[in-house]
Amino acid sequence: MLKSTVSVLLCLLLGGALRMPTLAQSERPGDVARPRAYAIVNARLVPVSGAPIERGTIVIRDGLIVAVGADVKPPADARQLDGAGLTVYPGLMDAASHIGFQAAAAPAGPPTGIARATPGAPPPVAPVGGLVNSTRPDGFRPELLAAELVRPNGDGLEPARQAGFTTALTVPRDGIVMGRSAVIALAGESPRDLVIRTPAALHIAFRVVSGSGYPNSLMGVFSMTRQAFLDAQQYQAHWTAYRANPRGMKRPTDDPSLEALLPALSRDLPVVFHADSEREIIRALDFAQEFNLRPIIAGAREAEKVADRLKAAKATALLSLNFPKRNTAFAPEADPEPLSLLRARVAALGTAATLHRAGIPFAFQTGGLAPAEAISNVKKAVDQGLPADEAIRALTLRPAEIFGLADRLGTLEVGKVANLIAVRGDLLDAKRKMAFVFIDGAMINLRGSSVTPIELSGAWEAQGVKLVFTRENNELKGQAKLGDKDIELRELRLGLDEDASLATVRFVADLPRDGATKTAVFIGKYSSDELRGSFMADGRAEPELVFKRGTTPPAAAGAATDGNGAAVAFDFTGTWNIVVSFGPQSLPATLTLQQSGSDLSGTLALGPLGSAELRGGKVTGNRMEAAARVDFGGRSVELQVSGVGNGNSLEGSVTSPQGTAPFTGTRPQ
Amino acid sequence: MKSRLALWRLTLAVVAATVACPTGLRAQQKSKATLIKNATLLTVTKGALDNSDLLIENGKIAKIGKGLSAPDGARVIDATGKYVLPGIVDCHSHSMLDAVNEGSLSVTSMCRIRDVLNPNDVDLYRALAGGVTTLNLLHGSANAIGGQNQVVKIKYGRPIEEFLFPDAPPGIKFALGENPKRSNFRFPGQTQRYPNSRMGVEETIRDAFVRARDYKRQQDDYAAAKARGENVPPPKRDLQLEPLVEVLEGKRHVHAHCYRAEEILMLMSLAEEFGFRVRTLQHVLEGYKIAREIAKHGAGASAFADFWSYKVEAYDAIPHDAALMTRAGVVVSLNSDDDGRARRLNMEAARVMKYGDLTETEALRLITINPAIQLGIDQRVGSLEVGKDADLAIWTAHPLSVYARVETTFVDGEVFFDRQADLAQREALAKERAELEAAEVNRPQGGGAPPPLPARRRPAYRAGDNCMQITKE
Repeated sequence: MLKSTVSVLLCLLLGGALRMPTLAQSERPGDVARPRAYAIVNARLVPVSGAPIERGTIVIRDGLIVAVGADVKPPADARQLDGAGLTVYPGLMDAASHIGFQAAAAPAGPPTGIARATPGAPPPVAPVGGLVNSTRPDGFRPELLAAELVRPNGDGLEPARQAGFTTALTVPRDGIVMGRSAVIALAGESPRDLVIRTPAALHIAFRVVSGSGYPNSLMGVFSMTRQAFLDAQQYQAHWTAYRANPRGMKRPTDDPSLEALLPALSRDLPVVFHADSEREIIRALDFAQEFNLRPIIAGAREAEKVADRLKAAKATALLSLNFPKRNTAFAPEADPEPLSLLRARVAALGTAATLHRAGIPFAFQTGGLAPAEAISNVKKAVDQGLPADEAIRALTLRPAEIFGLADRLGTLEVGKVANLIAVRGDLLDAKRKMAFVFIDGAMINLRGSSVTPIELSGAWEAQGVKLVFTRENNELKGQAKLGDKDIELRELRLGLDEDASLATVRFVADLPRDGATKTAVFIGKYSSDELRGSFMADGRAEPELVFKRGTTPPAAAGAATDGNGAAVAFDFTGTWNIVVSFGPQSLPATLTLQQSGSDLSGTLALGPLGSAELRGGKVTGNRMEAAARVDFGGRSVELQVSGVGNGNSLEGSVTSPQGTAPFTGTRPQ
Repeated sequence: MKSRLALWRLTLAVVAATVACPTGLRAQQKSKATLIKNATLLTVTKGALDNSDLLIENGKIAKIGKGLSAPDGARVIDATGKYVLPGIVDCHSHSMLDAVNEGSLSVTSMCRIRDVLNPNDVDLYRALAGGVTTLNLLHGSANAIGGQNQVVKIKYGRPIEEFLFPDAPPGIKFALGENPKRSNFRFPGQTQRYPNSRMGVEETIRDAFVRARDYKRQQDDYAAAKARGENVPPPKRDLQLEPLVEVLEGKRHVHAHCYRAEEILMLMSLAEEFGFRVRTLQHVLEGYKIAREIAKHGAGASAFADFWSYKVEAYDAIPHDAALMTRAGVVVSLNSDDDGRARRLNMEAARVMKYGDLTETEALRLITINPAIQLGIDQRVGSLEVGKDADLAIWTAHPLSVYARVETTFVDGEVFFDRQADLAQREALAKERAELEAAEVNRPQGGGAPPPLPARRRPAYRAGDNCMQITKE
């Protein structure tokens, strides 16, 4: 049992070849099956499709929204979530991204075509060239389908979910004719679960990707693409003629690359041109006009300058929230920046407002920015005159409309997919707190300082009962003191409750009851200073006990500050028992550290992975940093460990290419 | 005196205000007729007219004469002591290009300069300040057959469509010698390609035309078979060969980069073999050796005044090249091939006059009507004649003098450069810069990367001539 939990955790942390596990319900402590229905009550609802409801209830069941309104009664079987102080919005959609693919760290071999995931095989890497049978230049690969490349544990899904994104358009990363995108849900159990629409659009970026072969200039990029579209027209004409009457006609060759262009040429599939500057956008619109394509402009930084042409072409825009800003330091000897550049950076903030005034539909995309930061950047567009409700729309309904999914996504309406978020504070404010995120009706576990499992170790006291938890060799042990009696706590389990706001604890103990010894189960929830819960014996719940954390253990040597509060050297030397938390699960580990000056060496023992040497360890004040490399499933995974020491406790995080997991730990004396 | 000063200040303020709203200014200019009075008109084709007036209406030169009266609402410019020269035509430019060379293949006729124009290139404004109004934008010289050219009027600040010179015959860049054969240098990261010798360059061009001829035949055969009602698949369109078919049909001009006499003779005889004429020989530093042959073939020549020795094939050069070819009856022009030289093409003409003993008019022709003839646009630009486009500049002195400066440049009768307006707007620009630099997005980042070195701060001719550059920046 423990072993399988550990491997699940490792998979989450290290992103192995295994399928993303369902959050194994049977292993969640104190928990039955995941609810089918939820109701967020007493919340402010912003349906986007209509006026906000100041105090209302939204009910979701089996992945769909089933009721929204001010006087909706939550059904009895729905898990109720208190929405007081929260605002519920439709889940956000990133209108253009490259998320959900496997990390592109592995060196790209020869073009492998579209690899399909096979159990146990190493994860496929996005192919770098076209198909093997394509005679087209590098960078021309319209046959590529994003839907074939997404994985439930793919890059960038987790931070996007945490920030409140529930769907995204995801686009093959490289190339000139980059392939065809998909609209995906940001959570699901299998790759197929993620895909909402494929193909969503054909993607073209007029840019140089080859160093030596044709095309290696922007001119050649245009010529190559133009020739390909002409070839596709001829390909179609040839096939049409051949199908009508093959006799006496040379058989046309099957070409999946050209085949993929045909829906774009027939206007069934929109074409997203990745274009930022005024002239890039004009070139894209010219190209679309030349072949009668349905253009969408992604990036669109200077779209405000070509609003007339966008309108004439009935084009829409996927506006990047990655606003340009100066990224260089000040140097007195440097030439001043060109005025055009200074103007462009300022003007980019106003593009959304200008497009709105011009009546050009646009959606926001993260543009490669961290998802949370991208949402905060929306505020900058609002400051330049974009109405706030339009800003919300550009994150929800607009992208759904642009990709023809407004019948199921983008608003809080009965019958739509239960993608929604509940936010404490203003959604566009950087200080907002994401309270709940639902994707396809499933609640996403949110991380953050408030939901990091709190270390249980220590003494807890209630009316005449004292609980003492200790960690020995990463194993949590507990004892209850009833008067002078010491009772061992068995089957001790920790976790997070359903909405991930509190840590849970469960254990079994033999208690003296009615003169006999009875086996009782304790189920409780705890915060940093309070533990509430009750025993159940003979199927009967006893009154709730409220424990307070006992006096903190005496301060250990190596306090973090001296008398004046200034940081002094902290010595990390010793063996630290830490618990790495991944969502509701936790993984015990041991850090053995040896500090010499500001250098840190030692080992990280991480469950069944064995022990890894720490490299490049550094101590600054009471902060430590080190790197380690562990083998997992035949892959070597690079981990970054950082932490802040305080007395004998340590808090920090482990970062892998898959994401960051927080840990807490102590140093037994 | 004091009141005059106040008036001057008021004028400045008005100018600054108009600069601040450029669209308003432009709309005004577009509708406005302009009368330039009392200037010396260097008509180029009809001599110099002293103390004469020139009226611009609807973007055209409407009248030329003495004592012309201004129509109602016309702007009147007193140009006493000043000179008016037709807008300079630069027959070889790489300004406003986001890409110059598609250097991967030896035949890149499918590439189009039209696809990569950047109307915001500040070098265009600097060219206007040098009296230049028309550019022949050429593909670089990396390939035996390069890409398709684009002739533009410098309508700086306008949409790209307004730049395109109306009805200018299409052209294509060819290149001979060192640059396409590349046997003496190698681009980093690129493999050596065919051809490696001047012989190979000739064969590459001949092969391309043979293929173009076959392609034309194939298209004709298809049309004929279709007309007979046969069941034939449509042939592929080939963007590489289509422009070469146009060359064979005389519908597209060949502008050939070349240096050495024998390879120029080779290209002319190759062209005659295929039944077309080379329209211009570009650079053509050894043209003086075969000036009669060039005249006989009917090619134009577009040269530098005295710029050479930047590579081996450019050593056997003399400053009399342009003059000697002119005397042999060749239509000769001078080009810039460089953003810097584009600003002082008048000085190039003056140098050829000094070395080659040309007349004043012959020298001025080198940068005005001759390149216009070479580009097939002389019915619209290149001289001051009634009915031609009002593309011209007012100079403070004779343009062949080192003291001459451009005061105002007109394109299609609209002002695109005005020295006084430029001076007047500097204060406003400085203020705008200060405001923009204070904006959060423009503030330097603490701990950010150091600012980049200016891309073009380098020796101008480090490796060959700048025809070999990949991109402009």
